Amino acid sequence: MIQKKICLLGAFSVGKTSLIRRYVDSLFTDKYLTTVGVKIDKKTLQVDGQDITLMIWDIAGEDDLTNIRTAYLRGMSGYILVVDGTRPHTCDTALSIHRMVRETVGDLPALFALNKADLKTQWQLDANQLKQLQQSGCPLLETSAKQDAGVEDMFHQLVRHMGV
Amino acid sequence: MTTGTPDLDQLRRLLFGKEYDELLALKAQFASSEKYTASVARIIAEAINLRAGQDSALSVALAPMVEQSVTQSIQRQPQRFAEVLYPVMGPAIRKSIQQALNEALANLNYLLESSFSPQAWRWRFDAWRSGQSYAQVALLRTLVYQVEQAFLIHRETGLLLRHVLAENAISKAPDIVSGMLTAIQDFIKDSFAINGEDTLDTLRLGELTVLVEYGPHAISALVVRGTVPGELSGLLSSTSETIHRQYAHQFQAFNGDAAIFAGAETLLSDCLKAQRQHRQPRSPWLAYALLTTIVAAFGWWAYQHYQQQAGQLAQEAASKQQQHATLHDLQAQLRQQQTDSTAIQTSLQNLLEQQRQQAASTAEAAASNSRTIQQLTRQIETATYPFELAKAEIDLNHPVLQQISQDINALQQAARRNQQSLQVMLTGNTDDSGTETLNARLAKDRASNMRDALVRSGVPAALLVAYDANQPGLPATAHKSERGVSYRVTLY
Ligand SMILES: Nc1nc2c(ncn2[C@@H]2O[C@H](COP(=O)(O)OP(=O)(O)O)[C@@H](O)[C@H]2O)c(=O)[nH]1
Ligand SMILES: [Mg+2]
Repeated sequence: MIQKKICLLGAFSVGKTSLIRRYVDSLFTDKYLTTVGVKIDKKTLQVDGQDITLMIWDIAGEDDLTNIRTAYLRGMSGYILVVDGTRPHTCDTALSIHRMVRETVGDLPALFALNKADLKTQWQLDANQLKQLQQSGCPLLETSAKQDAGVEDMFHQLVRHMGV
Repeated sequence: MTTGTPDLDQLRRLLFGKEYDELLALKAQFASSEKYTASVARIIAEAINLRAGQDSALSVALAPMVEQSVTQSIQRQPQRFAEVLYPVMGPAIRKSIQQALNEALANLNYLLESSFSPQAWRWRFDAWRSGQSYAQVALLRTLVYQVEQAFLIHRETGLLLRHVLAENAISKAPDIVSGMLTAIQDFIKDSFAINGEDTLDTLRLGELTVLVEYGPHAISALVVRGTVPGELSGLLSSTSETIHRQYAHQFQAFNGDAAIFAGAETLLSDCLKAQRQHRQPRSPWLAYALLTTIVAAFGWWAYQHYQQQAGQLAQEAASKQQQHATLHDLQAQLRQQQTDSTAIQTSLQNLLEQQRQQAASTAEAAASNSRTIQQLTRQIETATYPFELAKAEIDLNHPVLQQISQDINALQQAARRNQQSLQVMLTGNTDDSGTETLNARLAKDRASNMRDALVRSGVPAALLVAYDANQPGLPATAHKSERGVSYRVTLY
């Protein structure tokens, strides 16, 4: 069985933890997040006929991205950058995290999740931001942790992108 | 160029001289596999020795081959290996059985000791409170230490490569724990800005300690409950080193498939050590006491059972004996009866025989008596006393008279034997000469004279009746024209 480490990154309160909670049956409480800044969950899935176990690292993000412990990113096979569509600055944060990862860790499979799609009417992303997202060369997905929309698809797409 | 070659050769010889020949010889040695083999053979043992002293690469390289050839060898001739191993295996098996027994006894003793102490009740309470089993709590509380889990973690990704668990320990999602261990490591490092090479080698929480050893590719970790002994971190380091040496290639090739580290599990398992309190080799008296009690109880029960059975048996025997005796008596009686009945039968037989004999003899007697009676009757009735002509005198000494007298007496006895009475009728006869009157007197006289004569010769008078021939009622035969007396015998 192949195991892979992936990370969910993004600004504070964009819905990373909510997305993971939707996807896995969590064994541990989320309190580790506040103490150590990371929480790990596990999910086994089948992509294109192959079993794979994802070790999903939920990394506590703050708006000040220097607080992301880059050490936590070591060894990951891919990552998901989560954006809260209702808060435009979270898109900027995601983009700068993406840049930072490429510089420190390297060029890895990644995708952008535009979360809180259930609140799409309240989205405030501007044209420039959308253009930057498209230029990143990463897949772009709309998700809603609240309505469980596009969540599984998001993980599957990342795994495919990782070429496992 | 073809013309230049000999020149070139010459030039070489001029330049290198004798060394050129040596060079050629050396070349030839490498070219010929035979020669090359010979030269390698000269140094191979020394070379192996030298390399073995430098590092373990040689044993690593040889290990699979040795393993394979030993396996093949065993498969080909297992008998031979059995023979070779035989002297080793016997003692080894005995030793391990002995040890297993000792441990079992010690464990039992330990369990007993801990069951009776007040501490045990506290543990029971703890077990009830925590939802664990009493055995678990007791085991945990009496440990000096126990290595509950051993992790082998891929250092870069935090992915779990191998995990082993002690028998009584529980573990929750070791793959997540392994990730968290690396994260915590990073967290501490980041938070306290520790030097790059320094690593967190111990985590402690309550009675749990996590020993962590950082290798170039993997993190080895032991989760220890209790007081960690000093030698444990040494063991962890050497285990980590061994794993790094043995799995160097696998670490290079790792792509998320931990199966390639399966073999490292035995190395990790060797780290699952434990030490218990009160485990000094003292006499397990409680276990002995319990065993003794059990044996004694069993003995008592067996004794009781035996007694009961013995009692029953005795009773049975007694009643059997009684039955026997009764039977014996009965048999004796039966025999007696049989004897008696035989005796009776015999006596009966005898009696019958006697009776039969008696009857026979009686019959015989009766028959002979009858014959005697017949004979005597005939003798008497045919007797003729020779009277002189016209005379009635009887000579008392005449043999005929004697004979008649004897016969009548004999007949009287025989008749008496036949319960009969006898009467003899005497009829006087005359011949036809003489006168009627004379003759009648003569006949009468002759009869009465005969009667008198017989009475005088001893015949009881009652038996004799004398008749006159002319007496009416006499049978005609009585009227014989004879000179004498006729006798008519009557038995009644
Ligand atoms: N409406 C809506 N709310 C969401 C969604 N995902 C997360 N939230 C809310 O956003 C807040 C922050 O979510 P959380 O998962 O803690 O964000 P994190 O800080 O990125 O882990 C919570 O109140 C969630 O209920 C979503 O898809 N739709
Ligand atoms: Mg969160």
